[in-house]
Amino acid sequence: MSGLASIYNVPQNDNDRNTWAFDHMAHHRDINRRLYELTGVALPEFVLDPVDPDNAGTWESQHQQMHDNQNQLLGIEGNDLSEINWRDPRLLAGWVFLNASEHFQASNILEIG
Amino acid sequence: MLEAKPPADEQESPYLPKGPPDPLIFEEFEGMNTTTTRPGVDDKQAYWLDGFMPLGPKRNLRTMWGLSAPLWTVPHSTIVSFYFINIQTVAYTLVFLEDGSIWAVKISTGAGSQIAAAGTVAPVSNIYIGVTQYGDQFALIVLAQTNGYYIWDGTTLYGPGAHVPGYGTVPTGISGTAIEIYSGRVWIALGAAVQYSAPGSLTDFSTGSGGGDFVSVDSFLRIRFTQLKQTNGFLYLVADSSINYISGVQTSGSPPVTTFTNQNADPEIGTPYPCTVDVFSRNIIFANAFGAHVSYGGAVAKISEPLDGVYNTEPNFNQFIPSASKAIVFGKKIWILLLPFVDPVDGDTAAKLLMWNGKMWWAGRQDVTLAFIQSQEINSVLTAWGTDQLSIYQLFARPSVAFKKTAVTKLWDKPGGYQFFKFVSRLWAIVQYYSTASPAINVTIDNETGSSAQVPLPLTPSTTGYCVSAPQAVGQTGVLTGMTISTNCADVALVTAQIQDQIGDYRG
Repeated sequence: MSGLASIYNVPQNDNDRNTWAFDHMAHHRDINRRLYELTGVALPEFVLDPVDPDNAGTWESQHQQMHDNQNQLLGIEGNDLSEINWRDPRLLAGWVFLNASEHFQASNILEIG
Repeated sequence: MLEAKPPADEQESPYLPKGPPDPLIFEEFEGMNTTTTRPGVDDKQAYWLDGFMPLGPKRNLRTMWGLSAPLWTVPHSTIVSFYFINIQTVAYTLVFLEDGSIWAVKISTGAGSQIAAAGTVAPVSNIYIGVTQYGDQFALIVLAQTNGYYIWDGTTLYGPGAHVPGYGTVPTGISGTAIEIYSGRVWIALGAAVQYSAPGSLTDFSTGSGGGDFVSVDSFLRIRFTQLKQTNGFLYLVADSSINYISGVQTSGSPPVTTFTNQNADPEIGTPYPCTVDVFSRNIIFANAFGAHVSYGGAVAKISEPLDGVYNTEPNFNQFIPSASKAIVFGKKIWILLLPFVDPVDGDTAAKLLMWNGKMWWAGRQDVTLAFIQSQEINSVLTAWGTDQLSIYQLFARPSVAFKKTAVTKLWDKPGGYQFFKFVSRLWAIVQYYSTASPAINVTIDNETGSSAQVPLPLTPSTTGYCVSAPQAVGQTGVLTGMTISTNCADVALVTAQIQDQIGDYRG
């Protein structure tokens, strides 16, 4: 059991974004941990919590790197998640859904919920 | 022929503001703010609200209700703490007494039955007792003694070594101070150690079945885990000065091995007070020595800055153990914290309620001095309960005239500024009576050095509804002016109150 459901939430304010960033980071940790348990491959972990919406360049590239790494091991056809607009609610909602979809696929494969 | 010139227009004094001064109106009601001085409070806030609940956004400051009749009165000893559970559809509260006994009280009838004899619980303190429920079948109790794990099915309390039909034998040697069900397992904390059961079991903690334990040696875990609480898919391990979380729990292999992620969320903020830890809108909320906090994910934010003027004015809470509750009051969900502080109006130090609706704070009290409060949640209805150590009452249950409600405005330097001396001569107010029991509302007009004599608002309610006061003559002078409004009325809402200052002297 992990916080998969909550990373489908679209942050509406700073507190929401803090919660989302925490839940999202935790889920990446769970994916990495489970991949290590199953394959022995220790994927690099980057600090994705907190998110600075005004300076997200490094966050975006490191986050994409984590998705690329896990997708490769899990055989998931990934999306380009490297550009995120924290200020536009419509674009953010679309990005959150794409990102959560990849987490959902990883969760199903790894059976981590 | 000479004609007299008309007299010159009256010259405005360069020292006085133009036009009639604006009245000083108290009607925004955006909570109270004690963190600054009374003149420094925002115009939309009050300096102190005691028993008045802001129901804004404006023009609604309603007196809070008082206690119900006692649900249950202790037959002997005194009440230390109590916890709400339900077995199927029957709601109970499990009551822990000072003599070490445990009682189950049925909420619908108030009937209490002793389920554990005196001396069962030792030590007896609400920081050493953990209670949770396992589905709607069992209440699980964990105590800080050597054999401290108990299971209650609504009829029988199964102690260590006893067989629970269909669920195995209650293990011996388990003790703890906090317990939670998460991911289909029982989690128990004792000191720096956490034990967990095999998946789907409430009695099997053996490693051969997928149970296990771990001990934290993290440097930020100063003393112990104080509370376990799950929300948002995580199990939060709240410690005295840190917060960890567990996620991704999985049991696999043969023999089964349970793995999970255990990470730190905050290395410096936690709480030693387990009965203040709860979930509020999916976030963990708790209180510690320097305030109340919410953990938005892993980001712990202090929410009680407006209380800084009163919080911990009683050093170390005078050994009182704070507790907290949630309730739906007048349709609003609120979080309630019980702790002692020096009342800025009355000056007394009894334990009182500090309440938060997610945005603003106010204080309150009930008909008796409370020692412990707790939440009941069933069918999504949140109800607050409290005890004076002798009886258990529902909080905010019915209108009460037994305690005073007080609202204190800021001290305005308006009109003009503090370079002017002012005179206050009139007071107006509009209220809405929901009950006319004890309807008197008294007001003092305050200045920077004190208060006027108390004057009653000229209200003559014969029925409930709106009541507009006649202009009330008052007398006060000062550089800073404000109001203190108090009443014992059972149920009334202050819609608005205002005073009209006239500028007197320019102090230059």
